[in-house]
Amino acid sequence: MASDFNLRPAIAYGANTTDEALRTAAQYGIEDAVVYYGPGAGQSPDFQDYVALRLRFESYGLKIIAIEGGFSPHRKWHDVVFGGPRRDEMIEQLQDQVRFMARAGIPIYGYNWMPNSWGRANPVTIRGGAMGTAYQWDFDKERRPLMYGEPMSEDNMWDCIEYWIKAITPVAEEEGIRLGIHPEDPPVEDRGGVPGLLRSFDAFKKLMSFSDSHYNAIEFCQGTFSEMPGEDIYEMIEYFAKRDKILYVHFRNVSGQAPSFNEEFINTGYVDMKKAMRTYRDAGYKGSFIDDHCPIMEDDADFPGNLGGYRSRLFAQGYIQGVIDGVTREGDYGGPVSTSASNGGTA
Amino acid sequence: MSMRIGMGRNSASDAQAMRFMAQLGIQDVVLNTPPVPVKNGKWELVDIIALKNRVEEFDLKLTAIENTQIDMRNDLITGGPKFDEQLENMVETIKNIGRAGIPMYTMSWRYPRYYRTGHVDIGNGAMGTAYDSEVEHWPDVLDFEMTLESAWECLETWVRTITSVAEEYGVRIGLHPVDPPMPVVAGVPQLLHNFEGYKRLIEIVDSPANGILLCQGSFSQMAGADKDSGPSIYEMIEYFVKRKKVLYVHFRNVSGTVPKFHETFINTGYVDMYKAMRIYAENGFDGFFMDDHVPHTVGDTDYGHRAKAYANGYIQALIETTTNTSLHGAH
Repeated sequence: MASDFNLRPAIAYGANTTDEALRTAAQYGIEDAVVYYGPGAGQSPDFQDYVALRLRFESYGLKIIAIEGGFSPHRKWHDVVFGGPRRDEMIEQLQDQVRFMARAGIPIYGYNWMPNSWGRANPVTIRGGAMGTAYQWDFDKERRPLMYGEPMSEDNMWDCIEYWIKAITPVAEEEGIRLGIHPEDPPVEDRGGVPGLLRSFDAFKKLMSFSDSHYNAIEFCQGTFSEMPGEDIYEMIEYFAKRDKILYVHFRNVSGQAPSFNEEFINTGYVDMKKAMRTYRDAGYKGSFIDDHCPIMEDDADFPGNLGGYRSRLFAQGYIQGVIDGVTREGDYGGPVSTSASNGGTA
Repeated sequence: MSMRIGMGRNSASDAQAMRFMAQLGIQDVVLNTPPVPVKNGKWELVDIIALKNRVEEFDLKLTAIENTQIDMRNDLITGGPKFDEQLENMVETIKNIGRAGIPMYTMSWRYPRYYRTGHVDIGNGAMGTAYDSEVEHWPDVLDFEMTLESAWECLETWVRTITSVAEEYGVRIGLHPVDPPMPVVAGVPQLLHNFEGYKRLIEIVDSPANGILLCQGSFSQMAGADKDSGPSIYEMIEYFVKRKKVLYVHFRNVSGTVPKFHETFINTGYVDMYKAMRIYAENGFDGFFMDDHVPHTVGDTDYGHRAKAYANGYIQALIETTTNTSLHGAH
């Protein structure tokens, strides 16, 4: 039954976003927002900051369904990632941050475990002269210096993330906020001597094994999972959705998998997005989909918070809403309309 | 069967606007009343070829011309004093469109023109156009007598004259409804404001060249289109698609029917767009869908780049999910 599904469009913002950007979501029927915020390079937000953020979004009819941010790219927190002397002190600060968010009414915190942050190399021209970000492993490897002068140990990083999960998950449970980690993007073995820890299906299974709590979950960047070499994107969606480990989805498309790939318009990458959406639906996923890393279109005005301007992001939003409506409704008819020949395209 | 994605504009002169279409993957471009010079009452071949070449510069395809300037065809529609002259010039214009290799010419069979009576806030400050017959104040525009019978005579003469020409020159003709679909507008009797009018139109000459521009928005606005007994919008779509009469579709949504309605976002009107899309697919529609009359949203251009991108993305997704195929040959 269609009414059993709850697949929802969402949109991502920077914390200092504009009135125009907020009104845009409200006008286009989007009610869920993801906000890039949280503990970062400098002083961390306090409880009141999180409350003020939520109230500002609510005044536009938008519910913050998640705060998304990476503390891990900032050296300030690297004792947590690599096991330095101030690890426990830093973890305590992060536990406080999670408490603040939860008590301010934020239900999800998505973060990452990428000391190098996310990375791309030379962008490429895609359809009609639009520009997509791209990654070329050879290019990046040659130019990126070692982050800490020597390669970091992958085993040690695994120990540290396990230590972290075991320290933070009980706090999340107690406060009622679900936590999820974004995969390594690009999902390659090593960048600048830092192992890309969460670069595969197996890595995420291992991460989930550290705590079987409902509060230990995944910020499911479908784009990055699609970039993982040799993995089947539909299988990973199904596996984690069935286990209720997907907090929300970055619904974007790419040309192929690492070591080299570029980002695409939402319906021109290698992933069949309607098949992906059906996989979420059939696995019982109930949650939100954000547009992400949209191509740069000509003469487009910057939409603060993510790649791609208003036109590009609204195209993706329209597509996301259309796919949600299509796969939600087709069950009433027993599936899509069967057609004898391929449609329009040349492949 | 092939269902494709289109988009319309009124001119091909703005390079940025053309690249906007190319970037969105538009497969069929429609130019509505493009500024082709009118020379001795008609469009000349060389000017139409220039227009087509201009579109092709951007790796786009000019599939349809939608309307010529209204003063090339006002008397043709109303039976005014220049009826014969305009008929002859439109025949020549259609021949030239065919010679230029443009496969469709569509036209609004209405006079005076499309109109609305205002705008409404359709949510959070987004604005949709609105029509309310109670507040309509449109003075009579004709200074000669026109009856329903004389109006049909004009349309029948047009269809009987143009269809064989269109067949010969490889052009399909499609007529757009009167919008708003009222029986009389500004004192002018209207023919294509309901299902009966369209059934009569396609029976004048039984030819693929005698077709319909199915402005789904205007059909949705027709009295009764929101009721099962209507005939409903879904029944009308099925009827004409089955008979292969639909050239392409203006895929937009509205709040209701005449005498009072407003335009909405594509997925917030009364028409179930998924159900509609299935009817096209199930009945073997071979044509394209374009966004149309998008709402005005905050910060958008007059052309509505943002709202068009959104509606077009929604349509692309509905086509792909409904038919389980990829528009762009990606999978």
